[in-house]
Amino acid sequence: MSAHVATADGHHHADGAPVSAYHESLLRSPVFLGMIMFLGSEIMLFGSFFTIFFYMRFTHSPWPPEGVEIPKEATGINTAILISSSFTMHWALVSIKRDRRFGLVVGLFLTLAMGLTFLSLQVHEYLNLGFTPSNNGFASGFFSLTGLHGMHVFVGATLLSIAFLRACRGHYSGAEHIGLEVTGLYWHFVDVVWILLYTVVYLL
Amino acid sequence: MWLRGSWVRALWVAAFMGVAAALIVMGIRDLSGRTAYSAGVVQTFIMLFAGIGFTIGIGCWDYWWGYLIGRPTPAHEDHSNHGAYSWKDYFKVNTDHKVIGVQYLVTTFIFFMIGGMLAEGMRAELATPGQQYFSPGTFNGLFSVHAALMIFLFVIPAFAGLGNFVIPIMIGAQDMAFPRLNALSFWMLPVAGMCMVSSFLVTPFDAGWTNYVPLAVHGPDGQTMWVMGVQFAGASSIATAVNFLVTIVTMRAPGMTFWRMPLLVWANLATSTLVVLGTPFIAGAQFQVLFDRIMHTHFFDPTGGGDVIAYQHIFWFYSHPAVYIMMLPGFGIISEVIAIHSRKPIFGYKLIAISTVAIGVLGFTVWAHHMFVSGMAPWLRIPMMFTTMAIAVPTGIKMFSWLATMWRGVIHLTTPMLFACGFLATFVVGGLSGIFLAVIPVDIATSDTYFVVAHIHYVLFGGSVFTIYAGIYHWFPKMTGKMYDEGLGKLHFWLTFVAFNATFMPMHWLGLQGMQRRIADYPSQFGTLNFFISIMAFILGASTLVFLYNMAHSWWRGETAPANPWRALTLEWQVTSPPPIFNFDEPPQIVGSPYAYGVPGARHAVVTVHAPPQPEEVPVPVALATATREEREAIMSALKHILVVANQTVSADRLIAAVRNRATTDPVRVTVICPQNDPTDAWVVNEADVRAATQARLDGALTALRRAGIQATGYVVERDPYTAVMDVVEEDPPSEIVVSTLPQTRSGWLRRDLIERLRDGTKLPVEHVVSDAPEMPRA
Amino acid sequence: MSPFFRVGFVALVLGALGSLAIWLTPSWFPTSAAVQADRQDELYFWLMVMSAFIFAIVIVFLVYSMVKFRARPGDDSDGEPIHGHAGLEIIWTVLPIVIVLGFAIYGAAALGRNEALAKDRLIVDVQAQQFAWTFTYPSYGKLKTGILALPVGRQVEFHITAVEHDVLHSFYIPAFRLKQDAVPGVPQKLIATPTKLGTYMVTCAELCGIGHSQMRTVLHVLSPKDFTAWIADQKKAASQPAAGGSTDPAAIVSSDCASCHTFQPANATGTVGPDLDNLASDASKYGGGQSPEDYVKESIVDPDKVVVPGFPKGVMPTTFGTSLSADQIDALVQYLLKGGS
Repeated sequence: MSAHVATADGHHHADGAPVSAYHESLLRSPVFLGMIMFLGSEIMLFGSFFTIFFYMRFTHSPWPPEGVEIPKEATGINTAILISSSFTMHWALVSIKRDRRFGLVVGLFLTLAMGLTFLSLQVHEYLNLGFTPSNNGFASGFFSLTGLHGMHVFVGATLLSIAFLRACRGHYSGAEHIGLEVTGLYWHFVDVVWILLYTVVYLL
Repeated sequence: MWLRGSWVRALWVAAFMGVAAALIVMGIRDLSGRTAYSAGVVQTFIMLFAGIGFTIGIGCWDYWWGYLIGRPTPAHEDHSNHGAYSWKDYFKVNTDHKVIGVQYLVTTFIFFMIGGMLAEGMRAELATPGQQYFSPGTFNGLFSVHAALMIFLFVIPAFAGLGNFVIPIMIGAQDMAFPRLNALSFWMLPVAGMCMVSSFLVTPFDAGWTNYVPLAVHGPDGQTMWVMGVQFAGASSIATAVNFLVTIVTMRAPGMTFWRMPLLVWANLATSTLVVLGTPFIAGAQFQVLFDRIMHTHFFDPTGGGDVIAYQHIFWFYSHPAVYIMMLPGFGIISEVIAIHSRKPIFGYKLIAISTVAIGVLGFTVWAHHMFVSGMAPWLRIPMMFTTMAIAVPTGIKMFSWLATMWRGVIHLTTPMLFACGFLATFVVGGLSGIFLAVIPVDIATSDTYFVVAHIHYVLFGGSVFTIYAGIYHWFPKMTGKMYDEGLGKLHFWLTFVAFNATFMPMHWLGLQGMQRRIADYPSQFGTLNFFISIMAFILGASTLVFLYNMAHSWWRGETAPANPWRALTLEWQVTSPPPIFNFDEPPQIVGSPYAYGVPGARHAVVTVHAPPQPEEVPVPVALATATREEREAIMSALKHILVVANQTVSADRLIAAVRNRATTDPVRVTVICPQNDPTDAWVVNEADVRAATQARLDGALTALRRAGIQATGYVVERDPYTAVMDVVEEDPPSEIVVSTLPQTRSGWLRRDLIERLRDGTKLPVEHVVSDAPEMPRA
Repeated sequence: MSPFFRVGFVALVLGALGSLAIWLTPSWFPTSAAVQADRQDELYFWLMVMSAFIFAIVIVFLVYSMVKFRARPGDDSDGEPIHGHAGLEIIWTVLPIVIVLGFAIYGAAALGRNEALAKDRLIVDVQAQQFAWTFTYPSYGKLKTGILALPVGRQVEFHITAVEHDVLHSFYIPAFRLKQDAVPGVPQKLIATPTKLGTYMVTCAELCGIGHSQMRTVLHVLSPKDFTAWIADQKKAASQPAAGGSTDPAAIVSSDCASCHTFQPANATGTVGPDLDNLASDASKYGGGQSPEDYVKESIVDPDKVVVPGFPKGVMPTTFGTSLSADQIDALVQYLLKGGS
């Protein structure tokens, strides 16, 4: 996403007439709107996995099944890390709106660092759980939900890295930072899904 | 070759990534102590990565990759992948929604034919009792792949394609909101189709398109191909839907409020919402089946903590809205066709628009009517019956509104209108049989029988396919600039209408008599009727050939079509046939309803077309200055016209020398154009400065040329170089072209193969001069 | 009368004529053999009447418009700028709501009556597996058969399941207008009250694999006296209550073969597989030189090796080699070849 207006605006005229006439009816940036809708579909994708998880949960007891132990506390700390990263992301966005590059860069760095920490701790948890997806229904649901979420965190970390590099190079300004807004929205989505997931899978 | 997207590169990258993925996965499995080769796992990863590799190789991701690695992306899009200048453009990644629309339609019709052949195979086997041509396993594969192709590779993407072509123009936009994403959406479709069809290379998936567990989990290798095919088709569908939604919400022309949108736009709005919210559920369901198969999870395994019926809930939560995804765009097409070909405003516009949205919303509340006999929670059946009945009401409203639109109209029974009328007749049958199926005791009797097969084909063929035909005939002149043959069109309609009803009406009776669906063989008492149906089915298949011939022949040799053969009011008919590359020169103004027929002088929109750019006044050499007008014109036309195309290198010595070279052999006049779409190294660009710098360079070049006694004129253009050249070629044809670029490593034009494309496109000699120009100043 | 009402009147008349025709023509359904079928048929009839009217209205208005309002050649005019009519739009919103609501209530009532439990109902367990039906009568000493028989006039409650680790099937009796999916591990109930004596088709209505088309058996609805006699016959043919473990070949045939094969000495009338009454001559025709004993034995333990022409492979279960002991198989071979003696 260049420093200019979004891709939808990329058209120009042979006689140099400005394109702005086309966007009088713009309510928001198309890229932002597109991200909202894409996130809508991702929410539904998680929804399909939550559905099967709920189905299994309410038709089987005990739950979790015998012999299955999940590290609620350790993951609770991981949850706190992820929630904090949303705050640093918000700080980064607020900073750039005020044209403060320092806050932006540090905020993005912290968000990315915490996101990567979350991922590493998740991997560590996977390796030490003691059960595999093929053990039983709970395990199937557990791994598929946390795995799907982990993939989304990975994509989010990629977006954050790009944003971070661009921020360091000074590509963003108070007036032009749609790429950051979109990245921020995606990251908050990842966080909210995790809160729901942690509650449903670990706590309930 | 490797720098640009192409089929060769696509196949190589797909193969490489597929093999690499397989090896890596097998390596990981080996290292972690499992058996290296597991058919399901390897197939999944090969298809996933080969599929993505294909889209990478063909060039869908090139721009985003360039952005990612820090390559200077053009401040102004250079549109080198935009627009159809030759037939070859249809086989490449192209960002023009009109090109993508045609790509969709041709590709989906190929899958329509394949799916149809599978159906004919089934009808051949079912013509008489007993097993004749196909083993039961292969037969199960036939109907499974038939339905999968028809739903995911034909009906849903065909509507996406037709919408892709028409809707941006209909709302007064120059393209979709995300043209590159649009191209990627299209190219995922052949990948999806290849996955599904390739299941016949192993044992085809054979659990029906509904893929119920546990049969699906036990199924053969082809199952994995079905799952991956659905994922690609689903991703394509969702991306297109997001594109439509953002386009319709943000890019409507000034004056086009929601209540002045044509109904096709309303239909796509509702459909796209259904796609975005619903498709992930089938993706999830099939992933869960895949995981049960290859990872031995227990989502649907009752002995392992899973649930069999849960699959059906998750599956139908998408697949019921899917049928509305397959119908609502068709309803939109019918609204357009009936209003225009009856020369009357659509009756009850607001109510139709509201009904469209209502069907979309209600569509999410009825899924369990597919599960009345499944053994789900019994209390769920009656509420689902009521919601299913409710959804008949908005559909009925539309039917009656369309009939009322025709009443007291001036009806032209053109082929699109015939298909629209045929649709009304057949869809009422399909809709009524749907009401039968909504009533639980009747559903218990008829579920999983040929009664359901009759219902689905009445609503999907008599419904969706008839509307697709109506839409293609209606917009054929706009898309191709040619008229289809009306006689052949009518023949196609009547053959299809009669054969269709003869094929599927008797199936209602078969179902009531107790013939179940998805059987390769049946009790002999059903023999006569099945034989009749099979004969009719073959005639139905043959009728498609009339259509294909008409399309191909008319596109090639048809009569040239005017811009507005139907004298319609909507925006797409206010531009040329086919439309200009960028649709509109400036945003049209919407001033009224799109259906304002019957009121003299009523308009929907005002469209302004710009005159082509004029070169600046030419400072003429002394000889010409004293000539009369006729003499001047004679002198000018006798001069050989050289077109020079350059931007950063326009004042380079090599270029000036090349032009002067030509002047020594013949008298020439030179037009210099500077396409102003340079990559710059700065990230914040001040347009005025850049343009001034270009103009300065151009002036320097012109001065140098004129000092050498060459008749030279020039101007800066905003267009990309290819379009700019084509414009000049059209208005003031040169006899040769000289293109000056930066070296290969720095030239954006060379990266886009500009020289070859100009040679192909203009059929003129094109000389390429390379110069190194100093770096652009940073802002 | 304005053309609109004239055309509407014609449509209604045609709808009425259509309904009359539907009433007079024979039912599209097979014989109705249960109370539930009668109720469904009546519901279906009224749905057809409603459809006749709606279909007539749509087609009559459609065809009338296509003919009467067709543009004359060269007519470039527009139609009248009618954008809507509030009254008409209200009517065709409210009337369909009333109609569909009415049928939903009617359907719900019929469903409730269909599923109302009677006091003295007969319980029959239905077990589905790839690709055969097995019926068990718990109140008759857990008698197991491959063919279904029911006494007329007495409500039956089917308990339907599929074998564990098997796939979905669906228990369908067209003459009853009833079906219910058989789900592995989750018993389903289906209520029916037979009303007519006769023999009826029973098929599987949920795709279950390559043998789906062949997964059929029969239902006999008998008078109470004949039913009792039938039970006794079946029990005699199975000298012990459960055929499993018994070396009595007649019992094995009754429980494991009768749903697909015909074999008169055991009252088996299945048609999914070949008739077993002519095994000796079959052996010489298809055995490829084997002795009849070897041919029959091979057909039991390795059914796909030699398949009688006209019958598909992969339908007969291949598990009899392990589910039956060697003694049982030998006894079975002798029993079948000797014509049941």
